Amino acid sequence: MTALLELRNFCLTLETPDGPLDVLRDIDFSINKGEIVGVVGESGAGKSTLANAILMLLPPRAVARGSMLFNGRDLHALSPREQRALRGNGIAAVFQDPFTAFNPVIPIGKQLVEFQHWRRDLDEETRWRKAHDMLSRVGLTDPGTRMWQYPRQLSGGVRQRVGIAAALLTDPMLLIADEPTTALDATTEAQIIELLREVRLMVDGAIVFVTHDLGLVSSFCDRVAVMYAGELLEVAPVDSGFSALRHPYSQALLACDPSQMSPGDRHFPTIAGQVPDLRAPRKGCVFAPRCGMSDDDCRHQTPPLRQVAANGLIRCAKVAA
Amino acid sequence: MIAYLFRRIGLALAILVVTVSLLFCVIHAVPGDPASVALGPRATAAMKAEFRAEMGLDRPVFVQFFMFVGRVMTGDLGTDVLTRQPVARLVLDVLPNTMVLAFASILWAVVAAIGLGLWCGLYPNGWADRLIGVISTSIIAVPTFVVAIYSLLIFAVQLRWFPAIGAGKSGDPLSYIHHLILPSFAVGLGWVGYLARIIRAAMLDVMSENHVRTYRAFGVSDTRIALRFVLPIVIVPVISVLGVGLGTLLSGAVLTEIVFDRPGLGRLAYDAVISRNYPVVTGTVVVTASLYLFCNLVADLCLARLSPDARAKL
Repeated sequence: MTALLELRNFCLTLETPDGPLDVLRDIDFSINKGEIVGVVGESGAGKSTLANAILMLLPPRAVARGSMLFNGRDLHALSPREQRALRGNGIAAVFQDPFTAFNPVIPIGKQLVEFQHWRRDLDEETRWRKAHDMLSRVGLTDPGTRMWQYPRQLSGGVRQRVGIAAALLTDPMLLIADEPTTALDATTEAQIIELLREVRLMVDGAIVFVTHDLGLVSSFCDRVAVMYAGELLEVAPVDSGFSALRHPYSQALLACDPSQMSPGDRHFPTIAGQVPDLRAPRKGCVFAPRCGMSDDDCRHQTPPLRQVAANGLIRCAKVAA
Repeated sequence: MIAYLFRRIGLALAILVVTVSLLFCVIHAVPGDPASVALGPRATAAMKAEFRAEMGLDRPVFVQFFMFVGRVMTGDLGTDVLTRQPVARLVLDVLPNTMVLAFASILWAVVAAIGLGLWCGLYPNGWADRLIGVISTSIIAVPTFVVAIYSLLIFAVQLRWFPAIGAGKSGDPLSYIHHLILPSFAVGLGWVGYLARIIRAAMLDVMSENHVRTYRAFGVSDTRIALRFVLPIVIVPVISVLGVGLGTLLSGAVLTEIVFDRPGLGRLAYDAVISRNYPVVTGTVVVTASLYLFCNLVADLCLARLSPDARAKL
């Protein structure tokens, strides 16, 4: 399998008034064609930043180091024009908040036509028809009416279906889904997940699925990447649940998953301590201060991201290979 | 939509009644006897009494008040005390000139402001943004009549590019437009910077919103996003400001008409005030107020049309 997206020592630093902020550190990781990778972690772990970095949608004061190769081209070495030419044309995205993702004063249909702007081979009418058909493919009834409605006339679930339709219309090689169900209520979330399962079959490329819902990852993804404080701590296959996850942080995350709790539990598990301050100088393992297994070595030496098992990566000195 | 329209028209009429009532109070509060002004210092007491009876000035104040409001609201603006012509005729004769001036000024100001505002909003803190910011602030601070006088001196007197006075030969559109350029430049200039700043600020807000990020994520260029998807949103505050600011714009137009000696509401009102021609003063004020209310109504309807959210509340 050839890597569709390959990150090598990818780092991202934001220049802030208080000094540089390392929001992503040494991400080493690749995504193959046809694969679905779940990216999980606590809030502030850098999941969405990673998604935005893949989309090349970074604030002006962000500096990328290392490489991020998409089909062999380093995305962050491209000119802004070349970057733009890949967005919506190879790389597409579904965003977290469907309530604000669309222009409020333009009917949905016109926006869906606009998203196909790279398809210069299609005329306006064909794009409109494709958008119309895509709306029914993502499970919307009466797409003809939907096309003329404004975003505010649609519910969150419908809007997220429209968001997924928008991404699918561009026939992406790489689809970034940045917490596409987080803003939705539980029932709607289940419906959107069902749709995403179908999308899996429609997309002829890879999907990066950013979420904090581990249950979703286990049922939906081929591999899981665990992030913490801007670092990649573990990558493991999701063959039979999360049996391959071995990093202490991954274990702690699993223990905190509400779906893992038994009905009688009076105690809600948490990970003690706080996510470290990204401005503080980096020393040792990022998770060491909160890790039950850490010792002095962990606090002083940064463990490398090393290969374990067949296609797993882990950044921990305590877990045996 | 229809119910909203009627509600808004009703509100506008109510405001007009209040305006006319206030106008009546102001006229009666101003010292000076209309009879002496109209008839001159050598009029006899009998002539004055006859004049007062004719104009209804001998009746009790509250009777005069209801007669006045009733007359004005039915479109009878009275008679010019000097020329004995109906005021409504005088006003309607010059009204198109003022409206054309106001409309031309708004038009060029809005077009220029959209261009500058979008540019500044797309490239905030660039050299163009800073330059436009400084210049527009300075120009906003200069009153319209000063701009009018200097543009007259420079472009009409010194450079002789444009005619200095009048509204052009009647029946000659080219001459009419030629005479319109300088006055509308003067009236509109202050608005360009003001509106451009409003558009810039709104642009900065909207460009950081999620839906703009969505378009970027689909590779749509920033220029196209700004023109096609952000402009319909940032134009909303411009219309609100114009609807309310029309009063200021009209007062600018009035002074500009005097500077350029253009026939119009402003000139008419000015001459009437100088000669204490009360019915004409009243007439011009009532017509200006109606114009203002009408434009506000149009602005609100435009907003309702542009914004689906506002439309839903109708």
